[in-house]
Amino acid sequence: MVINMAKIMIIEDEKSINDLIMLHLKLVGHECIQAFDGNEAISSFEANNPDLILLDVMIPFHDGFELIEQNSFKDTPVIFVTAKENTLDKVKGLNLGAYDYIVKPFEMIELIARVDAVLRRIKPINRIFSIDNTIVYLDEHVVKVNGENVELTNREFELLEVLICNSNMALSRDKLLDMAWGYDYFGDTRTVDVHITKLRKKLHLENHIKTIFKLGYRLEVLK
Amino acid sequence: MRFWQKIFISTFILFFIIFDLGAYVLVSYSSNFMLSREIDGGVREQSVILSAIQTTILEVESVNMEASKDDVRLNAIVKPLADFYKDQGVTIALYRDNSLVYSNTPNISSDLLNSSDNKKNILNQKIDNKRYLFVASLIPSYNNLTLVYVKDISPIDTFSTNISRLFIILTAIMCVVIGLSIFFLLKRLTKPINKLNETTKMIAMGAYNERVLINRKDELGELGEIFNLMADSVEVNIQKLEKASEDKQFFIDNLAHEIRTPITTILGYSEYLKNALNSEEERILATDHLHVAAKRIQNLSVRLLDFAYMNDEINELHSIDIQRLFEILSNLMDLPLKNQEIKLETEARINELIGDETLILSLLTNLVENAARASKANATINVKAYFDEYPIIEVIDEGYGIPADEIAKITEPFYRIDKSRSRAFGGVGLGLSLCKLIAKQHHAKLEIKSTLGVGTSVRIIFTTL
Repeated sequence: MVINMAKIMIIEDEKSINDLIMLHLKLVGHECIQAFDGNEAISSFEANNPDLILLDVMIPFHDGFELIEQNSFKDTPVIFVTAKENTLDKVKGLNLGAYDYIVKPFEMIELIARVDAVLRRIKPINRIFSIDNTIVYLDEHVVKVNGENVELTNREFELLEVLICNSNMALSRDKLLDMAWGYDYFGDTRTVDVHITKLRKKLHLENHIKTIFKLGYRLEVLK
Repeated sequence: MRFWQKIFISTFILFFIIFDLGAYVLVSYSSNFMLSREIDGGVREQSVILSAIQTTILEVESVNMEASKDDVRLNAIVKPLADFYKDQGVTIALYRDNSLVYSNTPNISSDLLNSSDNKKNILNQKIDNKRYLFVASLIPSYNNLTLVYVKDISPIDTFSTNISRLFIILTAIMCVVIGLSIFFLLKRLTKPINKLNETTKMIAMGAYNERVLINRKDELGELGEIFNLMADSVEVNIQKLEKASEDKQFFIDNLAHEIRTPITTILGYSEYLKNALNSEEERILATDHLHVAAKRIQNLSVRLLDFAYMNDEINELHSIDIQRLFEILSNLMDLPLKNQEIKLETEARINELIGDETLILSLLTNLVENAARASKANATINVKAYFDEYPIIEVIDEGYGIPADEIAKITEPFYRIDKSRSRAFGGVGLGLSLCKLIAKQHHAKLEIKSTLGVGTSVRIIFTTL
């Protein structure tokens, strides 16, 4: 499991969206608390003391800006998640001290990446991921299997990091190329297959890095 | 050129042409008149002198027969007369045939002397800046003797010159006086026009609340009033248009939002189902959300079609049997209400109503659905039809009630008091707006009364039926 798991509060009045965010954050290993309006947000914050807050602006009773202005969440970092896409609102949100501002609609892997980025900023601890006998020291670029160092190329390590950060989610070969190789890399998607095969072999993760038919690959981790 | 300038210049020019023309006519007429009087006077005076000379010659001839032929004697006769008249500005000359006998006058034109018998030769001539009147005639019975009467009539010229000068001075004074008065008069007269101009410009630039203030009882005052009336109606219409456009924009914004949320849900969950490693439980949650989202879009599309249909005029109104209407309503609402354990009671105290049955039914189902949404289990919803001045249908619930400040807003499209609650029941926020439209089509009034915690009553008052 990834060790930088966090307790994240989702404040969003639209239940379906709230659930959707919750399901995805849970997939990659975070713990979630849901709140559907301003009042619930305040009481739930007191009770649960989350590490990070995803906050919709347009919610009943107290809107998102209001909650921040009233310092309802003390020093807990906040990411705005909202349909308000104009720049003024963005600037207002960021000026109020939000760590990030995500405009709906967004892709879930984007949300996950931004959440990870904020978590790394606030808790600069070494991220360690462990599964079976494999331990990955994400910040040190070191991988150990059964206590012994395994040599990975840079590309292999980046691919592994992408899989870990989006664990339990299937990622297409194209997406993996974009995320691990970069957008400017124009390679064959079979490059991905080759690297995946090497990773499986080197880390003994044949049972965890699954090939999903017609989709791509998924690093499956017990939740 | 400005309007006032045109009027100013044309009035000015016209005035001076007429004034100076008049002055010219006046001056020339009066100097002619004076001249003719001078001539008459001169002719008369000459006749007096003539007869005096004639008498004197006759008297002298009675002593000396040849006196008329003797120049020295004639001189002696004429001179005292000439001396006497000289003081009065009159000089005379006496000729025998064409030769001068006596003269105390300087210049004499020779053509005066060609006079015949009894006719008098009259000449008015300017010599050395002086005007003279010459009157010449033969002395009766002495036909070789001609008397020339000369009078200095320069005062006539002096008079013309003076009066012309006077008129020039007068013209100059008039020029200033008239010019200034016309100028100020025109400024005053055209001020309302300038005001109208300014105001029209302002209104054209979008200041629709500008009005013109002209305190006058004339046509311009009237124009000002009519202009203001026009501006009023323009302002009202512009406001209506703006309101309509705002409403439309509001509707579209809301519609976009209403559509975006379920679409986001559908996209998100379908992707989740496709990519994520999920449990049975999570899968059910996801499919539930998918179902609700799809249902919401469906409801929305049905409502939008209703809306589109409602914006057309309904063609025919029929008599509706209210008893039957209530039966259909009960049947339609039976299942959904049973699920919520809510009772529906109907009471028809009037038999019929004029209207479109489908629309009235749609109105009632909407109201009953709203009532059910606001009600707790085991509550009752009453639907009554009765007559109180007008035919009235009333839907009464025992629900949560509506806060007083929200009653006015609830008929606006997409307005919901409790968003999540309404959505949980599949509401799209168009129900009451639709009711309002249907009521409008029937020229009926929607009257909503509500007490928090007690319930709400909605009355449809068919004011024209």
